Amino acid sequence: MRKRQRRWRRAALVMALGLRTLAVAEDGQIVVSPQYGGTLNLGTVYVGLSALSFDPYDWAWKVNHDAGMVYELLFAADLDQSVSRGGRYRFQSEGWLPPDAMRGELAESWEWEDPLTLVVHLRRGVRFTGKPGVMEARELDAEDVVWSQQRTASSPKASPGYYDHIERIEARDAHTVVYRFKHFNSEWDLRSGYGYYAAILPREMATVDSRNWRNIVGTGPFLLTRFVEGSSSTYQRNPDYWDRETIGGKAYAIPFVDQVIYRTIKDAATQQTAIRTGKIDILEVVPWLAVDYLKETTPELQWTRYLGSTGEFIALRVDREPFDDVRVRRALNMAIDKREIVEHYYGGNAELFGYPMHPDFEGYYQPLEAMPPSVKELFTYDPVKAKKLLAEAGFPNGFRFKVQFAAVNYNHADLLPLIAGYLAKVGVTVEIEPMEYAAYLSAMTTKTHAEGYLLGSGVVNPVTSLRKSFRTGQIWNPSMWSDPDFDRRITDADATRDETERERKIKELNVEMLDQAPYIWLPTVYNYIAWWPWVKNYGGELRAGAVRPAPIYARIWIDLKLKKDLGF
Amino acid sequence: MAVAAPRSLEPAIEAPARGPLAELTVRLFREKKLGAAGGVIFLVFLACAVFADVLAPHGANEVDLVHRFTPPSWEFPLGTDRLGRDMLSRILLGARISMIVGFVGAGLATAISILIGVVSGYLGGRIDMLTQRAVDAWMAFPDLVMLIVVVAVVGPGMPQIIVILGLLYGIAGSRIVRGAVVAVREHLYVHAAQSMGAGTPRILWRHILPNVMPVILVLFTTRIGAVILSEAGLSFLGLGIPPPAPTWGSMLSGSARTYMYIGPWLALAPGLCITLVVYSVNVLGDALRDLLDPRMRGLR
Repeated sequence: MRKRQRRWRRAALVMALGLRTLAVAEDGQIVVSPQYGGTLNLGTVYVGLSALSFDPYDWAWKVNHDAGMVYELLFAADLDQSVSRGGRYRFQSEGWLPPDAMRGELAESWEWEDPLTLVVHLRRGVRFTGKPGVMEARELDAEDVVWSQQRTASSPKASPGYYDHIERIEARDAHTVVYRFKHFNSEWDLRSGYGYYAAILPREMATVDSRNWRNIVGTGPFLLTRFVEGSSSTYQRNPDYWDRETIGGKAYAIPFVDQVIYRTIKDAATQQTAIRTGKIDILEVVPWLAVDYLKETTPELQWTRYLGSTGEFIALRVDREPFDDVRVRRALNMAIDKREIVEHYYGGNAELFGYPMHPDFEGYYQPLEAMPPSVKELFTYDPVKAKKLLAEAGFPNGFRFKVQFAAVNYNHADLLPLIAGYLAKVGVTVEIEPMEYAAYLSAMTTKTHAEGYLLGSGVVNPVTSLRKSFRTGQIWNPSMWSDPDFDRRITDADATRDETERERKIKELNVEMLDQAPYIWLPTVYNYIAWWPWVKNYGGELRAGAVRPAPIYARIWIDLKLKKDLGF
Repeated sequence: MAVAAPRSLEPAIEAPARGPLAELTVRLFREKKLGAAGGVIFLVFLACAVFADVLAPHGANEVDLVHRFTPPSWEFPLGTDRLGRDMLSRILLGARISMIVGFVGAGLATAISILIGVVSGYLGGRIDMLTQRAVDAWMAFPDLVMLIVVVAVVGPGMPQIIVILGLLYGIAGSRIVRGAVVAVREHLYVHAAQSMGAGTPRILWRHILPNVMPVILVLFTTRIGAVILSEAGLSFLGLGIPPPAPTWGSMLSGSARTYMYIGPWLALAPGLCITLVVYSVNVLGDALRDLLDPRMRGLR
């Protein structure tokens, strides 16, 4: 009882402080005044995963999340356009920035000199911080950009064809970089500007071990001062950082916090305990089932939710029987009550959408309601028609097939028996095979996986999502889809400069692929973000570039008095 | 002069002769009460496993999404899980899996231990040296890492798990059997048999094996608990018997771990079962060792 009273007293205190702020706002005075100092402890969206690498040369997908606090890129999200600041965008997508939501980071401006020549003008006065034994502090120049991007492209781990559209990159002068294209590529801004491997390093990194976290030197808002694998990454404020945050018409130097600590916590219950007890200030991934409990026990927490940036599906190998028959694939989709899964398994906290297009992909995404009837029926429970299709395909008594999944994914471990139950009703027996993650991933990359493969695959951006899922020979193509016509058309869409035209082509291709049912499409779940009220200038944004949150964290400040008043 | 009382010509009434197993049971209850309690608990679980189909009020894989995360009630005495499956039914059928894995795995492990330990210990010399170095090498690998690697290669499934655990514990346990055999082979009756020209198989079968049987019995008992615990560990990591089979380890993992705050019963029931079974079988093993070891006679 006392505990509950204490909780509510604390919640009332938070409300009172909020009301006080509102009153000030009505008086026409400055709404907020940022504070400097304090430590921001984070359970990021990858809270269970330590840094994989600090060097983009390794082509580790998560490098921007960790090294991106230190290294900057040419482009980043324009956070002034975030919903929490009155804009349109949530900035929660993994690797997609709508063109009008992108701003120059190291690039001050850019223009197309001709259809195949992109000129990028670098911001002046941006400095590498320097580090004893590595380099002296100095200004960033165009040679750094050329060196960084050529080096990344030359890595033996580079994704084949990733930079094939670029003929060469050159420094026209100290602050101008010129990209000469062989042909247009719609993802030029992602691949060279804000993408997973587009970080800009100083040339001096060639002389030291660039994979050693102790050596990394950048122009970014933070300096990496400590890294303990499996435990934490500590970033100190860069006092000479160039960027500013404008609040109430006044520009403030950032970062506001002295220190950011990424906490690595593998166990979900421990993550929830950490946010509940104030050990972390923000937890970016709270499963929906834990939300009510946390709201009850910790009513002060602020909340927002986001739709997962993965598509969930069981890939059906179309190169093997019986899934080489589209009727079988369609039947399996119809045999599962996906709406029931959304309503009862996920408690309404999930969405069905036509993966690989994600609702975040404005312009490219079409809701299921807008799809043709033949696509809609794949998302409608109809076991009678499913049985009929199976009989037509020569399986009146059903069949048996194996589905592999990663044992670490507890949601998939719960979901698969449910799916198996639905399929059993139409005579199809599912043999469930949990696999250790490395073996599971390797089965797909070596194309030795089973007929069914349960996967949550990231939606990167409209073109990439479609290409990586269905183009012949792609690693993330577990259905083994191979169609020369699709390959030609996706390449054509990628090379289409006019965005409206590209949107049309991608939509068309997406509908065609949905209709072919190479997957059993499953709902994607919402996750929640929780943060304490002392975390200010934050509205649940997750990424300001491909897997890169640094600009978001640099703009957060901690209301230290409120934190103290709340007993922390 | 005192006259000695005439001795009765009636034959003395003797207590009914008990078999060695009955004798052991009586001594267990008389001398080792904790061990006896362990044995009773284990028998209860064994009975649950055997009669799981009859005792389970619902189907172990009967999904009922409307009743997901229902706390313990009359309808669901141990609550329900994320899919609305009855936890009691899953616990009961989980007991069957645990018992099968435990008994068969421990049996296989014991057979392997006997084979390696008896041959290595009795033959000695070069064979013993080579065998024991191989056992050393095997024991140098951490159990869990080896289990995960092997399961990753051969895939999960009950037969695989039993074979892997049988091998793992069998090879390690051979060291204990070998020690007992080395002690027994120096006894006079073994030398006598050798001097009379008895063959090695006969000596092993008739003279060595019966005399190391107490050690083997204890080894088997303790291995049951160890195998059950290892299977639960593997299932906890998601690499045990594949879903939807209701293993205790897998019930303890996944949703139970993630949502233990909102549904503590998810973790409590399988956790308690694992603890109880392993504890009971271990105290039973300890008691049997004490009762069967001549050096421990008279000690409590």
